[in-house]
Amino acid sequence: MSLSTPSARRQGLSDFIDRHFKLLTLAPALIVLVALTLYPIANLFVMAVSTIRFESGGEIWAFTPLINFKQLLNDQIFRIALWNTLLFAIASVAIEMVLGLGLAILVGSMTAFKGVMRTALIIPILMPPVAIGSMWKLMYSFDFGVLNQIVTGIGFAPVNWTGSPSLALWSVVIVDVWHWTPFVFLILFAAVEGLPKEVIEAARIDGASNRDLIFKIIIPLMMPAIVVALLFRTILAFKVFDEVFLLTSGGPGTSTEVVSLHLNKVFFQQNDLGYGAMLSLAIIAATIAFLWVARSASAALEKR
Amino acid sequence: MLVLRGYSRLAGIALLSLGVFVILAPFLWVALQSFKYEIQILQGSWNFEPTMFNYVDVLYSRRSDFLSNIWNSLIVAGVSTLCVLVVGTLAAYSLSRLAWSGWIRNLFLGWTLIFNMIPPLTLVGPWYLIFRQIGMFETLGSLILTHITLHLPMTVWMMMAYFKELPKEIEEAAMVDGCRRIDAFWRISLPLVTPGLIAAGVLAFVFSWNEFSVALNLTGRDTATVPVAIARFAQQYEVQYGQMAAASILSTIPALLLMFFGQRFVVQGLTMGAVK
Amino acid sequence: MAEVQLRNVQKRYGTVDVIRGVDLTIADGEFVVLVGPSGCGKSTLLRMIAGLEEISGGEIAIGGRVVNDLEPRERDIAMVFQSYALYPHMNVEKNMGFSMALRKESTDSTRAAVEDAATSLALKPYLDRLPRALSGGQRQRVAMGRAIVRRPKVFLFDEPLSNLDAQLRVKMRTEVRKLHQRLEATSVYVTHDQVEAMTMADRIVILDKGKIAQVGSPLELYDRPANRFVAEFIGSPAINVIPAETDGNRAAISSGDERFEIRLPSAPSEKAIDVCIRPEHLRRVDSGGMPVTVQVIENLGAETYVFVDVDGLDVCWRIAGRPDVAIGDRIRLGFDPERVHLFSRETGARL
Repeated sequence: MSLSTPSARRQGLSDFIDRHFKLLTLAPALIVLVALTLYPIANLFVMAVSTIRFESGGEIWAFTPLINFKQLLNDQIFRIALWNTLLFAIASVAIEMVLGLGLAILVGSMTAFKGVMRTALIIPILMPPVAIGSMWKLMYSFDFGVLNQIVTGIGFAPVNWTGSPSLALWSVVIVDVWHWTPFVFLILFAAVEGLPKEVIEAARIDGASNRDLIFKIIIPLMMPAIVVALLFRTILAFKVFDEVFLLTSGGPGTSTEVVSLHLNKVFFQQNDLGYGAMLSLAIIAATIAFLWVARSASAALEKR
Repeated sequence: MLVLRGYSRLAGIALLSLGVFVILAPFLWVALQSFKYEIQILQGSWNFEPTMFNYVDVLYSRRSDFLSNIWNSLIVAGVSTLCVLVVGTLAAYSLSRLAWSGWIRNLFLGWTLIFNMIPPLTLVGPWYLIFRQIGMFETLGSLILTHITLHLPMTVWMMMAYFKELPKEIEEAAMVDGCRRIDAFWRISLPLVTPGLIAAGVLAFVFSWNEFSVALNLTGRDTATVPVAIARFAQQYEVQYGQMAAASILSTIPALLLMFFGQRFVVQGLTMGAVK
Repeated sequence: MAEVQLRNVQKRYGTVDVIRGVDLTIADGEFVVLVGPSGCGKSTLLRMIAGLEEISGGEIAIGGRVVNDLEPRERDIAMVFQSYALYPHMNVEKNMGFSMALRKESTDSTRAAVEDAATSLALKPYLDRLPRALSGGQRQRVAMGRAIVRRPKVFLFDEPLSNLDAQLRVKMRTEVRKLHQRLEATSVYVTHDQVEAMTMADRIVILDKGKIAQVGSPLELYDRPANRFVAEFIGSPAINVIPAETDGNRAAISSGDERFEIRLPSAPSEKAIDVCIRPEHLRRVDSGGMPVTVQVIENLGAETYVFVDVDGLDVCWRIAGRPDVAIGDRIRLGFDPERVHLFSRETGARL
């Protein structure tokens, strides 16, 4: 009936694991993070002060501490890429938030439709972005794309969606909106379903119209979810690569050049690993700075 | 929620129908193109005899490696998903249940957050050099390792959210009943987070299947994955539109399967990871 | 079975002292109730006995063996949680037999033990149900069954009845007592409900801010509270506390414009004291006593609580049967000096 003495039971592999369970469970993740994120970043620092050339299958490293840094300061294309990325992120995230929120509230007010919406919306979220890019490449085609078929069908001149410098970035924004509005919808719809019913009923009894309900009750209550969706989307928007690579590869000229695309070109088309590392470090530093500012801002907001 | 009656209800239904149409139409239109010959695509014709030519060509022609691309993608996505589930679930359990001091937790979670925010391309340069040095360049193994790394933060956060939903008392009861920590984890907590494991696994698999920017630069001709192959179709000197459409549709099959069979878990995973 | 000893047990979270030196010996087979207001440390103390919280100082011994460094599983205890903490993925039978399965006991003896416990708890029809298919009362009984099957040296209960509705709670109180009489196992029972403590305990331990305020049988605590905290905590409706100034064996209370004096059985050593009197010990008098105004009357049928005003203080007077007063009446209340409890205003200690 009573247990055998504990010392006699402490044997074997599973007991060893049990005694060091705390460390052993975290260790694999720590190893992965150190070996594949921290160590490569340490590498970036060494690469950033070097010039690396490939000759006869080997790398030749030269210590050139300032060349890459000077190049960073004079890199016009990087500046354009930053600006394009910013423009792209603001425009696409803003549109997605408005559409996603509107859809979420609308679907939340419907009795049917919930299942259909959710099923349909999962396709863009789970599709390979590359496939999305090639899909829209077909649809944007100047000569035979379905969009120009529609445009000419209603009597306008065909539009050069991805070939015109003034339009190309907006065509990319449209693709991104198609791709990510469903994701925003899903998050916000979960929040809509979690809204306290009594509060809304109380507001309605107090005489609130639909418009009052949306702007004075529903949106304020959904603020936490809205902020989360906004953050998620902003982060992803700044990382945009796949669709742009497929649709325009940054062109025409530099009109859709974005940060990741520029990085890819420096690393793997110009084979300039030293300068690529310098760029990477600049981007990582900017990310950490952004995160720090966002944290301080939200802390300041919470205090208020 | 809102009360919609009469015309406003009709307008709402019309708007939602439009929404569903806008989401589905591009997919259907491209699916349509994949059943046309190249010339019919270029003419933009709507009346045509459907043909399987593009699919046959993509899958079986000697010019195309698409079958081996699919195989590579399955290996990479399958193995990296299994590994990231093991590593991520253990870490999530450790951080949510095993009394790590606050600064270690924050350092770990903070770093995964930062890492998740930076474009993967910033690390592809050093990865490229490291894998060349240790002789793993252009192998599936190197891609698997990077995919484990890329999807570790998401897995850890999602699983932590699921572990936090479990009442602590259930494990405490188990330990009073005679469980060691490892038994409590293995026999009690792990079975109870099965929905989380499925959700995290499904998402890790899909994201690995879809991943492009790293695969583009770390794979060679033999190890290219499906997205890399699709990009090749689009980047060739003369774009093969029919094959590109067919390959794109084929690459969406896992997503479609999951949409029908794992929808509940996908939605749960996506929203839980985001809201918690 | 086993005796449980706590020797100067302490618990600190950082700089916060939660348990500040508790000494207690629980005899073999005794049913002890730990009771106190929320935040007094009673659950923490129980969890320290269980091994779910580290012990910051002192010693805990179960059956003569110091268990400070033993894991919960090595302490030979069973615990019933407030939330029941049933394993949601196991049916009732597996839930109850889990501890035996862990000890690798034969399936036959496990099944026999589970059936035995299930029979005594009227759970037999539910053995293959999952916890989520059970009612709250049934879940509670499964949690108890799980503890019984464990056959521990000590049963620990952490507010096991507080998630039940009022009627079921009263019923389960007797069930738990019957169980204890049958198993004769040492039991430590935590509750915030003084009625539960009074009705169930062999001995009650009242905790206040991490220290023991008093230990004793329920009636000892009721009749001779060691300090004002215990006096106020035990008894419902709560004891009346009336501040007074002493002069020899007289205590002066001012009520509105009137000052009146009450005679005390002895002369306290302090000037500022609290005079405490239980509601049932007040009685109506024609002269002397305290002049009061009737404010609220609560009829419970068998008895009546009359709330009156004394110098801005609410005082409760408990009458058997129906009252012959009405709201607004000015009456006088007196009491037998033997019945009052006197406490130092400053320290709260009994005088």
